[in-house]
Amino acid sequence: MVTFLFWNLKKKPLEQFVANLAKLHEVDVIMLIESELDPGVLLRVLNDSNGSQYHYSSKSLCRKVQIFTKFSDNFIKPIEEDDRLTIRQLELPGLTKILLAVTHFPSKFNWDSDEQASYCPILVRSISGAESKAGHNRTVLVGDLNMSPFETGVIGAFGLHAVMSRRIAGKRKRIVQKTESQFFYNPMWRLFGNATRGPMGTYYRYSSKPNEYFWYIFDQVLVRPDLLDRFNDDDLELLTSDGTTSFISFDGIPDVNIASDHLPILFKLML
Amino acid sequence: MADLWPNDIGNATQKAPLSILQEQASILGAKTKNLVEAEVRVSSAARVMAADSKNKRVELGATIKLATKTGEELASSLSDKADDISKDYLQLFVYDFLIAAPVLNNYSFRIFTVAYDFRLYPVKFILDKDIQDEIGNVWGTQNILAKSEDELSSILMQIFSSNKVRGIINALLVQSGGSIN
Repeated sequence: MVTFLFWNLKKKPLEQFVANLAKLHEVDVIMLIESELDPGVLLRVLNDSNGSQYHYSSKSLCRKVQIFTKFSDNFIKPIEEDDRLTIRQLELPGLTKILLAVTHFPSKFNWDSDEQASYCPILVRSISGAESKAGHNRTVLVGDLNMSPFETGVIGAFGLHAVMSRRIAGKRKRIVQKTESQFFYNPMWRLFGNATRGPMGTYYRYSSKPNEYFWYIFDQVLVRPDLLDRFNDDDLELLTSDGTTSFISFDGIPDVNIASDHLPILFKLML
Repeated sequence: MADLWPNDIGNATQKAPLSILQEQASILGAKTKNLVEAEVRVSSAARVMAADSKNKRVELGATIKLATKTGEELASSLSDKADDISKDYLQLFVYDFLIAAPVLNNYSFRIFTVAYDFRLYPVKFILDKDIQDEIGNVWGTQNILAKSEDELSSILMQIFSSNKVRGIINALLVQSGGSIN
């Protein structure tokens, strides 16, 4: 079992929280965005508080994503990148090889939903290119997509094509307008609303606009069909504390005075 | 039977943006002993992606929208807004430009994407943000457009000379065990 942590740090010095989460959940792969942490500083904190030896991959040319691993960066080499995306080949000895794609998508502050959706095919082409190079489609995409799971860019066949149903994703692909499009399974849908064991999203926004969801799940984990039997929905959770400090305020929303405006995501894969 | 076709069909003098990109891509390898190469990734032709509640449609692969207006409005936007590729426009050709390192597990880094329609020009650039910031003082910080072959060449030269692209090429060269000099 390999454990992954993803967190948008909102450019805050949250290294101690990251280290505490890594220790508490025995995280193998830490993925950070909007991180202004000096990798050296985080490594010192990580390795002090864990008694383990985390590594940082300096081979990546994508500056918007930082990845720290409990193993040598030789086992997680970048294969395809741009300024918002890194796709790594995770090849741990004796375990199934996968592609780990991590992205920070353009935000709604700068782009509207249509513009975000129209950028998705570029992301999809990069993922397909990496899958073609790797020779397999065992890909997990993790990131702050800055889109909800139900938006065009995420659900559309010419976008990420990420659906809420394992059964539908299990069909692997769909042909729309003579174009074959592979599915992702999007397990984030089950994390919406009050009937969940955790918070109602990863990000909260209050506004006086007429249409306001308040809770958003911009931070998502999307799983290709070839990894479905290695991913258990119960092994995905939104974290609200590092074990001692709560990341949410008394009214149940992310407390930006304490941590980030996004909540971290933890998931596991049986590789 | 009368020949109704014009006599100047097939006499195009413009070079297609794709040809220019592919020519430039082929040059980088020669400069780096093929340790670092450039590659043009061809995407499928544009297809309508989806319709949203505002009845707009989003095109595959480009940051460009085709509003589903009336035929008259659309024809007007096609003919009158030749320079305004950022809205109300259909893109047919979309290409990614990558810097690649064959000996580093075929690693590649996408530095920009271009999109254009059947008229070939203007060409819209969807650029790496660092590069856009760097050349933005000349070409604008948003929606960089090449309206002609000359402008395309000029923009490409600035992109290739940018600190970001130089840095990527140097980093890949070093990791590939080579250097330009």
